[in-house]
Amino acid sequence: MRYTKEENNIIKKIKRSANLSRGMGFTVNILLFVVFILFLFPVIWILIMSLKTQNQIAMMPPDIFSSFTLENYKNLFQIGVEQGGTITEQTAQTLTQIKTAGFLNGLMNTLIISVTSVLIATLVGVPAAYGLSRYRSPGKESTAFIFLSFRFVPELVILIPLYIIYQKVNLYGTYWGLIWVYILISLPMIIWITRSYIDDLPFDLEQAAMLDHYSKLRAFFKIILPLAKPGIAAAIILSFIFTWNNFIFGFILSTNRLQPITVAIIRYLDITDLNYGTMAAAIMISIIPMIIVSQIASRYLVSGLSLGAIKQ
Amino acid sequence: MENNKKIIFKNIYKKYKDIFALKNINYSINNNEFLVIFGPSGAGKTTTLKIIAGLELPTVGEIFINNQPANSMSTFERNVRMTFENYILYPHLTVFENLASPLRVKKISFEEIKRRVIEIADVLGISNYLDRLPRELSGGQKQRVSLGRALIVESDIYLLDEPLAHLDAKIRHKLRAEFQNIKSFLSNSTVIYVTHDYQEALALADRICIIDKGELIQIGNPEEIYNKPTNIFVAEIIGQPQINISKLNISREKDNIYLVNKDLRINLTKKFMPIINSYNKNEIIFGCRPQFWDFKLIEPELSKDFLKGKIIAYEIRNYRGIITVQINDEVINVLCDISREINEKDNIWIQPKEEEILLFDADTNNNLVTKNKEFGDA
Repeated sequence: MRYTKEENNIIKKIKRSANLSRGMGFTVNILLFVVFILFLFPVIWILIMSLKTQNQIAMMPPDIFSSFTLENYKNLFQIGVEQGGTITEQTAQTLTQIKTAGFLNGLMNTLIISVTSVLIATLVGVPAAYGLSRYRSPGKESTAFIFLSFRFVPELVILIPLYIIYQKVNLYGTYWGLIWVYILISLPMIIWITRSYIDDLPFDLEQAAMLDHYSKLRAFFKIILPLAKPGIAAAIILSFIFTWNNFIFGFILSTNRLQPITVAIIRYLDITDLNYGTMAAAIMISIIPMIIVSQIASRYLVSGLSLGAIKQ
Repeated sequence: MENNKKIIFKNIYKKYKDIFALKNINYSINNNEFLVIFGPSGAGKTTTLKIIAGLELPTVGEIFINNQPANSMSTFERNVRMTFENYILYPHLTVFENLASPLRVKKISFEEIKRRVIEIADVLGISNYLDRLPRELSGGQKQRVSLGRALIVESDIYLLDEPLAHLDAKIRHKLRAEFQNIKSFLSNSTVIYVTHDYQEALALADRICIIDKGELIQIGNPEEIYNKPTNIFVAEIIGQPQINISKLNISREKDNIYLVNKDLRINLTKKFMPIINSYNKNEIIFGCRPQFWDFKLIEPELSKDFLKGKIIAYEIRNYRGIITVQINDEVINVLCDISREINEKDNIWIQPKEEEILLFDADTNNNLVTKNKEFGDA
């Protein structure tokens, strides 16, 4: 809307008086900046490390801003390597090839496993959350708590039994084996976050829909789901991040062919060299999909979707 | 079974956890009638509507719709339209979509949907808001959208739960006038209208059903409710200013009956003899509405029939004057036309109009006049 000049001045005065006084505002901003730096510091460190050569990384005192190189990133994607040279060099080249292939492979694996497990967890978890929220049955809260309790268990505790079972049922080293375990990570979170979100939606909305002759299914898809989008989006982001980050299950329960990226990155520390730079570059690249997913899903994290539905 | 009974309640009880929201509800609603359910908050009005709509099942008892047992009919099968007291609009849909939503399920062509939405929006005066979301609307606009969503589908039964409740007086007045139009639009359907505003009830209803604390108190047309209330509760809840109620003792002197207490003395004519004779207690409750009192500002000749008091307040409301009269410890309100001669601290002589006197049992609070068959056409 366009306001007249006088209205603009009045609006400015109101806004100014609603803000903190100047001194306070400055302090708050400084504090926010400090917190921001604290959180972002490791990422920035890795970023800088990925842009330096091995020598520069090892230098003491640390020389941060001198020179940047994209050499590490080139190393990641090296497919054709020079052949020949001494045995040591040849071994090094073979290992590099293996590492490069491993990196791309790992990226692909993590993508497949994370996306599939979060997808399945969403398809199963959102209706489950709806059921837990809206229907009555004996022992419902106990069931819900059991779902949540899957997250309480430390992964190391169940790892050995899981390893033995997986060997026996031939799930070891298969995609579905890893996806199944990753669902263990994502499903409880999706159910609980979505459930509490649906709990907040007024039940009267579904009663109104029933009066409009919506079937329960249609009411679920047309009324509940659109309004629960923020909750579901938040749950998906969190689940995706947790599954993407998971190290231990991929480390123990998968073979070389199926390693997720978290495990593949460790391979950059091996006999030939401790290539921190390339490892840092690999880490930076592996973060990118998570950033993309968060950005896309955060568009749905809007508050107040159900404002105006009922009289407050 | 009579053919003109649209809805029949039989022994309905409804319990929420430990509380009975409805007790012993037995009445019927006629075809094509405009029934107003009236009562204070928490009386069970919304619960009644929900049971008719099928959103709640009675704990005990049966409901019949169109003479069919309807307990097992789902909401889907019952052809009812309902508005909610707190609107319940779909917050993520525009006004157009909110109005169109019941039609979309029926697979009507988009042209037809558009036509009907625009038609109902015109009737309710919301044509300019079709693109807005519910959170961008004022209370009155939301109320109208909610009403439109209910009215857009033709149905046998309309359930309106306090449709004018949360609006300010000016809009309520305007909508109430529009409601008379809507009423003719609805004249081929049964409408059940819930309100706690007695003026709406008296203005719109064919019959009024008064409930309190889950129980049916009285059901009848507005004239009956107003002039022949079953008990003090009904007499007090309808009418403003409230009916004047006093506890008096019966005293017989020769052939006359007087109702007396330390401040008042009211003469009852022989008409009331049968009632007093069959009433065996000493105390009786007397009631007379403020508009049924005669008053004089100068001492009248037959002053012994009048009660003398002092004007302690004079207020003008709705173009009528309300005189508050104090007689020692009793306070009586009298309604009158606006007059400049009425001043506070003046003396005033008041007398109740004999034909409008109501008498109630001192213990049960029931109306003795209507319960007594010998008294005229009670």
